[in-house]
Amino acid sequence: MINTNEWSAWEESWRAARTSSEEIEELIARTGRARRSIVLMRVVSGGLAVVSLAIVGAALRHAGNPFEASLGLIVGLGVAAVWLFDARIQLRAAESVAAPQEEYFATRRRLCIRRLRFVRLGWIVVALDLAFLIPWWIGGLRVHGSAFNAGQLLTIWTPVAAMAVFLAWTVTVRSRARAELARLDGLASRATQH
Amino acid sequence: MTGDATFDRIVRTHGESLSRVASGYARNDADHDDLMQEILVAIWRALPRFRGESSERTFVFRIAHNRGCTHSSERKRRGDEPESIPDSVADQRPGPDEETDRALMRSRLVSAVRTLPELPRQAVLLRLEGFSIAEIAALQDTSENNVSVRLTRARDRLSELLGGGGR
Repeated sequence: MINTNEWSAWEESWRAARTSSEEIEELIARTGRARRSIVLMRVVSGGLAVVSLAIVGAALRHAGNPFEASLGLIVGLGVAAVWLFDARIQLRAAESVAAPQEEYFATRRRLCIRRLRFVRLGWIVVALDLAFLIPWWIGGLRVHGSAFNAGQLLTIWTPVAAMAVFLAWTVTVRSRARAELARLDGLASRATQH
Repeated sequence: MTGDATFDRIVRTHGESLSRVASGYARNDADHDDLMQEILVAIWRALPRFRGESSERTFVFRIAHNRGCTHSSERKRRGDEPESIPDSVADQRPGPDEETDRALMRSRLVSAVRTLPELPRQAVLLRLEGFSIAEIAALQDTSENNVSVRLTRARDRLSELLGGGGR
C-alpha cells in the first residue's frame, strides 16, 4: 500500500535539515525569556485581583447602609470569581494541548465558549462595581471635597483606570475567542473530510 | 529532576525533530521561529500535568501538532499566503551541486507538505520523522487503517506536487 522507496527518499531529504546545538541552546534561552514573562503576567494578574479586592474592602468599611454593604460583597465575590474563572481557563488550555487532535479541538471550543461567558461575567461585575462605587465616590467627594489629592487618585482614578483596562482587555478576549471559534469550526469540518 | 531540567532535556532530545515539524506548519521560514516558541511554551506549560500515560515522544509531538494546526489556521485566517513550491533555492550557498539539489528537494518537500490538510499533514510529518503506522494511529487516536489511507492519499498528492512518479 505504501511505496517504501519514495518515503525513504523523502525521509532522507526531510531529515537532512539539522539544528545545531547552539541553535538548540538559543531556543532554550528564548523560551526561558517567554516563560519568565508568563510568570510575570500571572503575578500581575494575581496582584490586580488582590488590589481590586482591597479597594472593594476599603469601600465596604465606608458602606453607608446594608444595601451598599451587600452590593460591595457581591462585587468582591464577582472580582474573585472572574480571577478564578480566568485561572481555570488558563489551566484547562495548558492541559488540553497534549490531548489527541479531536479532543484538543473540542476542548479549545469549550474554552472559547467559557471565555465568552467570562467576558459577560466580567462586564456584569464592572457594572455592579460602578453601581456600588459611584454613590461611594459621590459621597466621598461631598465629604472630602473635589480637590485632586492622593486619596482621590487611589480611590477614584485608580479603580476607573483599572476598569477601563479590564474592559479593553475583555473586548480583545471576546474578539479572539470568536475568531478562534470560527477557525475551530473550519478545522473540525476539514478534519471530518479526511 | 526539576521541571526546568526536564524541559531543557526534552528540548535537547526532541528540538531538532520539533523544528522540522514546525516547518511543516509555518507559512514561511520567518513564521517558523514564532511557531517553535509557541510549541515550546505549550510543552513547558503542559509538562507539570504529564503523568506518563503516553510516551514522552508522543506527548511532545501531540503538542507540536496541535499548536501547529491552530497556528496555521490562525495565519490562514489573517490571509498570510504560504510560499509557493520553489523551482530553485533562494539562498544558494556555494558548494557541490549535490548539496544544492538536496536543499532544493527539501525546500520543495516542505512547501508541498504545507499544502496538505491538517490530518494527512500530521500523518506525513510523523512518517517523515520515523514514526510507525501504529504510533501515528495512537497519536492521532484513530485506526491504523485510517492512517494508511491518509498516508496513501497524501503520498499521491505529494508525488503530484513534486512531479514524482506516484505509485
